[in-house]
Amino acid sequence: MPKRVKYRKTQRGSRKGKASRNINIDFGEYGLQTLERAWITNIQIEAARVALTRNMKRKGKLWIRIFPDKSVTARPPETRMGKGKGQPEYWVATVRPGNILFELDGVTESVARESLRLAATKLPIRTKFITRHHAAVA
Amino acid sequence: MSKQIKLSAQTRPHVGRSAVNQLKKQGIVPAIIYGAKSQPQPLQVSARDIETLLSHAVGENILVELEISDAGKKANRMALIQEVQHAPLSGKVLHVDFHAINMNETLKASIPVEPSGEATGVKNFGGILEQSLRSLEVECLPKDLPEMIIVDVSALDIGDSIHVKDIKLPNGVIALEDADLTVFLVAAPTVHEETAPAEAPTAPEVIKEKKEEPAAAPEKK
Repeated sequence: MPKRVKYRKTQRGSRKGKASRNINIDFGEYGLQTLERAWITNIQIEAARVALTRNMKRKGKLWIRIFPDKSVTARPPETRMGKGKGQPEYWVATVRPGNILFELDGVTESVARESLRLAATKLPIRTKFITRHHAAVA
Repeated sequence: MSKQIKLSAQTRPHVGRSAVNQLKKQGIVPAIIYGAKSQPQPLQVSARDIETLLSHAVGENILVELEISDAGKKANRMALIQEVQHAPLSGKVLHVDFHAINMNETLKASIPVEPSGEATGVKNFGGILEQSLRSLEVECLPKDLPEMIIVDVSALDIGDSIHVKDIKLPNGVIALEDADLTVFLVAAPTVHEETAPAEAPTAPEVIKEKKEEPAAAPEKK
């Protein structure tokens, strides 16, 4: 979640269409690409990061390409409608099909594949493992 | 020198979105050829041919001998694949730009750089080989154009780096990048923090300009 924000509450926005930005592997050799659209929460991103680094065993380099900068509000239970918008409960990153979520470098392909598979199990969407070469000429 | 590959193409009479969509349904990829002081010409190539060509190549800057058929006539033109557009999800080729070249004039191309060997710092000390420059912009005659540039990194220890000026290029090939740009670097192994999740989120600070307090309102009587 961000350290400072201009406004605490955001509108829901649109998630339609395919991704047009953040669709290439720009830093590492391997990446995890999303095939679906979703709001990924900061907790899910953190869980995926922990799963990744644990499997990489302190080797290699990791880039997280998404950031949860959108707040989601919720109402307290058993409250009546009205009385304004609820309070921010958690933070999400909007992802569209084609977005790169994580990038890895400095590990073998088999380690990268397994690490990203474990990370993908922590996310609420279908994903695909891609390599830099595959992304360029697939 | 990179291989010269033959590729058949046809002139494309129809331009525009709907015509191109019709072509794509038939397994044809729209393309264009420009350069060499001639008018740009819309082309079409078989999707299967172009995908096979790209899958067997290291990079995408490939020298091709285009066999362009136009209403029964055939003409051969040398061209460099300048740009390939891919669908972000499926990876299918959407469009290809061919840059017509003159075999006697130098050309500029982006050539992939690949490491060879295992760096000492990686092998013995667990360092990470970082590649900050994936492709090198070069200028050369078409006959000298390399397919890829292989750099021996086996002598690199932790903290060592290879710059553009350290790369030995084939005869007739000049690097256009800044000579001091780092290409490979062996970084010390990073120690990831213990895998415990980050602290529970707290509310972020709200950027807000303080409003000046209004002057005390006069008492109503």
